[in-house]
Amino acid sequence: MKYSILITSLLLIFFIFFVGLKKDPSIIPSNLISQKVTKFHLEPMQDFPLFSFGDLLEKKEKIKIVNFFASWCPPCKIEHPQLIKLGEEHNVYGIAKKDNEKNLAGWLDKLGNPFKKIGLDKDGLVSIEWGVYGLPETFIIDKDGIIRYKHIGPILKNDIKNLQLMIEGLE
Amino acid sequence: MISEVGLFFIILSMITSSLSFLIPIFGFSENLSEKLKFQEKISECIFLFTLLSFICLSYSFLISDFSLIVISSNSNSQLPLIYKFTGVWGNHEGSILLWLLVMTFFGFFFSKHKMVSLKFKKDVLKIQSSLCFLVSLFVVLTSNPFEKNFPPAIEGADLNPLLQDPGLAIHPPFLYLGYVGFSIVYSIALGALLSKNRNLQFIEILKPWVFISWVSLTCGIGLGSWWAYYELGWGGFWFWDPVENASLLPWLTSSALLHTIVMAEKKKKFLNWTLILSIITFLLSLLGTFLVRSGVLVSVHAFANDPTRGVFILILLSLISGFGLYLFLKKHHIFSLNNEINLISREGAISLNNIFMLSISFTILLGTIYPLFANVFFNTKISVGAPFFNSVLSPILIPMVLGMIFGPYLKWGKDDIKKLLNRLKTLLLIFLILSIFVWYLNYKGPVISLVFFILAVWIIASSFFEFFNVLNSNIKKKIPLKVLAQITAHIGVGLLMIGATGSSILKEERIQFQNLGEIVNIKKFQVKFLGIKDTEGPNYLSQMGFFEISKDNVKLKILKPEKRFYNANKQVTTEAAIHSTILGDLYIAIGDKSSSTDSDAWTTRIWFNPFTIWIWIGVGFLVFGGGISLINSLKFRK
Repeated sequence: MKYSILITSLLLIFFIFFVGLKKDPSIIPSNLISQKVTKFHLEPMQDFPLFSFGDLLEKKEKIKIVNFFASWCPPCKIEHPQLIKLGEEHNVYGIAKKDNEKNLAGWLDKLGNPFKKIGLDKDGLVSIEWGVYGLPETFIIDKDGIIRYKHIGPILKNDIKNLQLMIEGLE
Repeated sequence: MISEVGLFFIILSMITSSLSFLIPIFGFSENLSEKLKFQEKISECIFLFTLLSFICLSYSFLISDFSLIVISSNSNSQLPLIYKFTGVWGNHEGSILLWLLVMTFFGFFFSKHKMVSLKFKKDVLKIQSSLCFLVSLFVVLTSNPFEKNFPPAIEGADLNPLLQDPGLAIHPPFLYLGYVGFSIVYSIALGALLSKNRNLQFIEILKPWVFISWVSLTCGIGLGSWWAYYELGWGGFWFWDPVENASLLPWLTSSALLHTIVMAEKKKKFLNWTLILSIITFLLSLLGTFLVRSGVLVSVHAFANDPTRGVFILILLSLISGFGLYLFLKKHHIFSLNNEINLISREGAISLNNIFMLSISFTILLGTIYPLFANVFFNTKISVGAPFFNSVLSPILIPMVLGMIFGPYLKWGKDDIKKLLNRLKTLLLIFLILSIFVWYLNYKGPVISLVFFILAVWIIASSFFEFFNVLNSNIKKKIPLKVLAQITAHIGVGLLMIGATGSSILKEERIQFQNLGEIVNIKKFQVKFLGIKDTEGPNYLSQMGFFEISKDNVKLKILKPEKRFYNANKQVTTEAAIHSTILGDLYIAIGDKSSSTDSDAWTTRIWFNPFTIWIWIGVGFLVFGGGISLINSLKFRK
């Protein structure tokens, strides 16, 4: 048993590799899951109702969807039809990150507006607080204002079914 | 049609290689030279079959046969011809076929050498062909490059634009020559272990293979690093990415092997070190392949995550490491002899070097797979990056470099520190003067940069000192190639250290929105933004920035960094523009245009990376030094 340490460590490495194969390294969980949303402040956009912290504490609405987006972000355009679909049944709130108001208005005019309310995150501080590192990102929040799920990247056609199932589960 | 032929040949190669270990089980001949002849024929055949298969794949790429899945997803009819060809290994399937080709080629090449011990040669060829069998089985079962689309695609999705670059086109083949070259090193070590009595001939046979693989691996890593520097636009040359680390691990252990083998040859010591390092180096090459191909770690080398392939490579890895290590543990005692060495001696310095090299390898391995470990056992996601590697490795590097400086002056057998210092009085004086000089030039910089600069200058100075010492003590005024190789490679390490220290610790960075005509000052340079022009390449559109560079208000040149948009797969790449001088690189990359409509400003990133060019020159010296050793080891053979 001279070599038991060597053999054990080799077996351990192989075990780690074997188990590791079944895990996807690109999935990064958010630390905000199961946390209550903290207070934030957004700037208003002309002709649109302002999205504020109070909206997320509203008990009447069971589920709130918060979407970080921008008119300068190409994947946001890909995601847009799915957001409109979600907006028909749920309350979708938009936070436009570092966006130009004029461009944004034109963008929503052209593609349609899925958002119940919109807020502008001009300096990107709110995005930082929510741990958003790329656009678009979408959060699902329950009636108590607790973050339940985070979707990174555009919501594609294939994703929408899963999202709806999850929302039903939460409701 | 051609693709069916290709598939036929790869399957034929697989079946043929399996004969190398299947036939002996049934036993067809008792005659040793007949057995050897059989193994030689097998090596020849599998090389030929794999080559034919590779030619079929290359041909299909060149004529853009989009009925093959690999081609339709990794090539395009508009692609320049050269990239159609390099696209052969720009994907998983093709690159594994290239891997197999190199492996069979080494076996074939080995079979052409005349050797005294027939049994040894037969065993080496048998192991090499068995390795080829495992890899070809992997190709046929999980990575068949000749798999068809149905219905055939009309147009291909394009080669990843990052790979459409001369630097990267030749980076994988060199890396593979290195990685796979160690397969024959492994086979030779096992062949030696399989012999009944202590056979010292293996060292001489092993040597050129170690050098050729080491030189290729050094080239491959250097090219990859150079490419990342000018293509990724991140302003750095090394990112401690898992895949980079994976290539560094066999490089470190093989560097230890280089030093050990010299001693094994000269003093018949450290035979066990030579054997185990030969085995470990190949295992680490395979481990690298596993990390790269299975996608278990997050990396810039974003390959598809395919667990079936991962499981297969893991089985391969466990078979090969299990067999190699088992044989070593069982038989190594026949190679252990006069292992008593003094710490203060050349042998002592080389064994310390081995210990440091292995410690560094182990540290890097730990840092690389720790995220996986944490994920499996603690279910947490962490990443290990530059702060860990830099802070852990720096302290190990310092004594290692000191060993490099004084090691070559130590006598074989037994030496004495006092006597050594006495011999090196002049050199120590030179060190003192150089240190003061370096301190004077850079006393404002961080202490760690000062330490590394001084150490680097010491290595270079001591190498030159050694050069003149040897020259003077030699009556014929000739330098032995072995010494010249060591001096060249050590100077390379010194230059590499200067470059790496300068460009990582002392770099300056400016990131800003730059308006038209605005000047950014960095070091002694003024960088004026002249504007952006849209241009068109063979298969991409480009936004080319124009920057006027002046130094002390004297105009030098216009730099043109680009942002390229590749039509076929809608991918954007950054092409940095670099103004290189021996003191440092001015490095410019452009980002996006400001989103506000009334501004013409662009995001620009401007770096001054001191001494970066010396990294590539240092790698050049390392390769050159390795090349001299290779020539020397071949000469010795004749």
